Amino acid sequence: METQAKETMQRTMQYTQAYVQAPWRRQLRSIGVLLTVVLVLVLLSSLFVSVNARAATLGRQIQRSRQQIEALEFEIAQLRSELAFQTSATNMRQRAEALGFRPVTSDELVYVLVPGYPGRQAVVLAPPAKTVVISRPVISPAFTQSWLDWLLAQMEAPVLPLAELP
Amino acid sequence: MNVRTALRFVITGALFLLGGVVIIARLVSLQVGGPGEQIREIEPLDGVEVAYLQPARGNIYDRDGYLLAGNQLIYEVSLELNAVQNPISIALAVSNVLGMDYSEVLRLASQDPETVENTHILLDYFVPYEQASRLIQLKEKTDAAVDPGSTPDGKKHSLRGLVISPRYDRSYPEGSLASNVLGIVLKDGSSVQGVEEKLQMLLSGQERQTRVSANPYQALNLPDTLHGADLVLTIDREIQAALEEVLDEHMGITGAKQGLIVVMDPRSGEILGMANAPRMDLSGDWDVEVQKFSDDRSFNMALDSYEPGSVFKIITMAAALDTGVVSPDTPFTDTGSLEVDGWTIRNWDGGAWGPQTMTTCMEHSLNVCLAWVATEKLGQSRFYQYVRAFQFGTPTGIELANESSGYVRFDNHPDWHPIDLATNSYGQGIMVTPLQMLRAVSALPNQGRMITPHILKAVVSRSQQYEVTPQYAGQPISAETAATLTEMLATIVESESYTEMYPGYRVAGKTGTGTIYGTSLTNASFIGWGPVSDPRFMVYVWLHKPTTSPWASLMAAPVFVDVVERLVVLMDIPPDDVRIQLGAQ
Repeated sequence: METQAKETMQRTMQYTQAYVQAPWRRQLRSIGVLLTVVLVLVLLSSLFVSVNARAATLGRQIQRSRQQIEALEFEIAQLRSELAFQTSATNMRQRAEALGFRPVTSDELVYVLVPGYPGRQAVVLAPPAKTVVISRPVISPAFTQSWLDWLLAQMEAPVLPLAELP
Repeated sequence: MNVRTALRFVITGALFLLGGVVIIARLVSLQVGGPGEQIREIEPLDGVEVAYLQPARGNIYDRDGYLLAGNQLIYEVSLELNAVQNPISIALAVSNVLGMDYSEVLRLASQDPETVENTHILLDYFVPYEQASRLIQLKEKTDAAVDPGSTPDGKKHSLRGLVISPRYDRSYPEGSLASNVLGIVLKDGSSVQGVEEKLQMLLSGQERQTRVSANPYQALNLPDTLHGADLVLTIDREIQAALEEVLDEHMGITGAKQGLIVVMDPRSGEILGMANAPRMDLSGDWDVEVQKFSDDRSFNMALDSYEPGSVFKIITMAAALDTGVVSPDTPFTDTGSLEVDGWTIRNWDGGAWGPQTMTTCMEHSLNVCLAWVATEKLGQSRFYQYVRAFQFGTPTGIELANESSGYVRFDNHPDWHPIDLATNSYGQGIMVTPLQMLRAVSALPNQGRMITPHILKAVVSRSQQYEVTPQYAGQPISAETAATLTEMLATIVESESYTEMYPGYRVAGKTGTGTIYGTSLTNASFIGWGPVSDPRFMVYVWLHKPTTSPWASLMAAPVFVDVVERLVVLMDIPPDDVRIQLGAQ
C-alpha cells in the first residue's frame, strides 16, 4: 500500500518535472485543441458559405431567366402578330392574284372521294384538357438549408426506438 | 522547445493571421465600397420593389388557327426624376425620336424631384416598336459610352432617368374582318361589344401589383404572370371574308342602311361567319370609325331584335303541322282580307289569291292565310305554346355581348289582344333576333331538335384546349313535321326564279318582308339552308331599310344566292348528284 502510494507520487513528480523542464508541451496541447476547434469552425463556415453562394447564384439565375422569359414573351407576341399580318386573308389574296390565280367557281370543281380523309379539321392549339397532377419542383434542402438549420432539424427530428429502426 | 520549432509556430500563426486579414479586408472592400456599391446599384440585394405584372390579353383565332386579334409590342416612355442626370440629353433624344416638343420635355425633366408629388412622369403611352427600338439603342449607347460627349451646360450626356417600358397592345392582323364579332378593347384594358366584352374575364388574364424582393434567396417566391386564355372561334375567316364581300356588294345594290349575313352549321350550331355592314376598322382612327355607327346603327345586327316579317311564318306553319290542324295540301280560299278583333288583315300586295293550299300559302307568303291558320285552326293557346317551345323571348346565350332577348307579348300579358295572334303569325308585332330565328328554324334540318348557336369553339388556357360542345335547345316539333315543312320550303325555293343561280343544290328557305312601323321602309330577310338531304349550312340575311325595293324576294334572296354560291366552294360541298354518286362508292 505504502509502496503503491510512493510510486504514484513519484510518477506525478516526474510529469511535473517534465512540464517544468519543457513548458511548451502544455502550450502545444492547448494550441492543438484550439486549432482543432478553429479548423472545425472554418470547415463549417466554408460549407455554409459554399451552400449559400450556390443558392444565391441559382437565385440570380432564376431572376434573370424570368426576365428573359418576359422579354421573349413580348417578342413572341410581336412576331406572331407580324406573321399574322403577312398571312392575312387580304394579303394572301393579293399575293395569289399577283401570281396569276383567281377564285375557283363551283362548276370548275372536280370532286374525288379520298378514302380515309376526314375533311378539314378545326385547329388544335394545345392538347385536350385532362386531369393533370401538377407538382412543384422539389429542391434539395441542401440548397435552402444552412448547416445550423440542418443541425436544428436533426435535433428536432423524432428519435425512433431501436426496435423500430430498419 | 528549440528555436526551429518556435519558428515554425510563428510562421504558421502568421500565415493564419495573414489569411484572416486578407479575407476580412476583402469582405470590407466588397461591402463598403468599390464593386459592392456597383453591385448593389445594379441589383440591390435587399431591395423590395413594387412590380406590375402585365398579363398578355388572350389571342383570338378563327377555327383554322388564323389570328384575328392578337397582341403587339408597344412601349411606354416616361421619366423617373430621381434618376435624371442630364435633362437636356433627354429632351434632345425624346424630341428627335418621338417628335415631342423639346422645351416641354426639358421642363418636365428639369423638375426637382423633391418638389413634385409624383417623380414618375409619363411622356408617351403609345410608342410604336420601331421608334422605341431607336430610343432604346440611343439610351444603351449613351449610358455605356466612356465619353458620351457633353451638352452646352458642360454636363456629360446621359439618358439615365428615361424609362422605356414594353407593354402589350391589341393588334388586328385581319383589319376590319369580323370586327363586329370581336368587339373593341379600350386603352384602359376594358372592352366593349363582341367576344372581347362577353369573355373579358377569360381574355384579360390577371393584372396585379406585387412586392418583388431582389433577394436571390427569395427568387422562387416571384409570382407567375397569369396571361389571358386564348380563344378559338367557330368563324372561318375565308367564309367570313366572302360574306363581307357579298354583303358590301349588295349594300350598294340595295341601298340598305345596314346589313347582316349569318352562316351557321345547322348540325353543330357553330357560327361559320357573321358579316355586318357597316364594320369598324379596329386599327383605324377611333373618331372616324365610331361615326359609322351614328344614326342608330347597330354594332352587330345578329344580336338585335326586329319584326322579322314572313320568315316567322315558318314557325306558325310548323306549329300548325305539328298539331295536325293542317297538312301541306289543306285548302284555303284567299279572299284578300280577314277580320280579326275589328282589324282587317291583308296580303302583302293587297290582292286576293283565290284557292290555295298550305304550300302555296307559304309560297306566295299570304298573310291572310297564315292569320287564318293561327286564329281559326291553332288558337292562341297552342300558337303561343309553340312560340315558347321555340324559345322566342329568350336569348340564345351566344358568346357575344349585348344580345337582345327580343320581345313577345304572350297571351297572358295584360296588353295582349286577339289581333296580336293574327299579326304575330306573319311576323309582325313580335320582336326576334336573327340568332333566335336560326335557333328555331334549325329544328327543321335537325329532325325537330333545335341547336344552340355558338361562336366559341375552344378555350386554350395553361397549354390545354377546352372544347365547347354543341348543345340542343329542345325539340319543339316532331321529326315528321320537320321533314314535311322542309319539303314545303324546298319546293317553294325551287319555284322561285332566283334558284337558277345555283343548279345542282337543293335548298330550303323563306323570304320575309317586315314593315317598319310608321314608315314605308322595310326589313328584308331570308332564311335558308342546304343541301336539304345533307344540311351543311344555314344562312340568315337581313337588310335594314333597303331603298331599291322593299321586297325581300328582290333584296335579300339574291344575297342568299350569292352566299350559297361561295359556300359550296369554300365548304367543299359537291352538287347533290355528285354527292350521292360519291356516297354510293
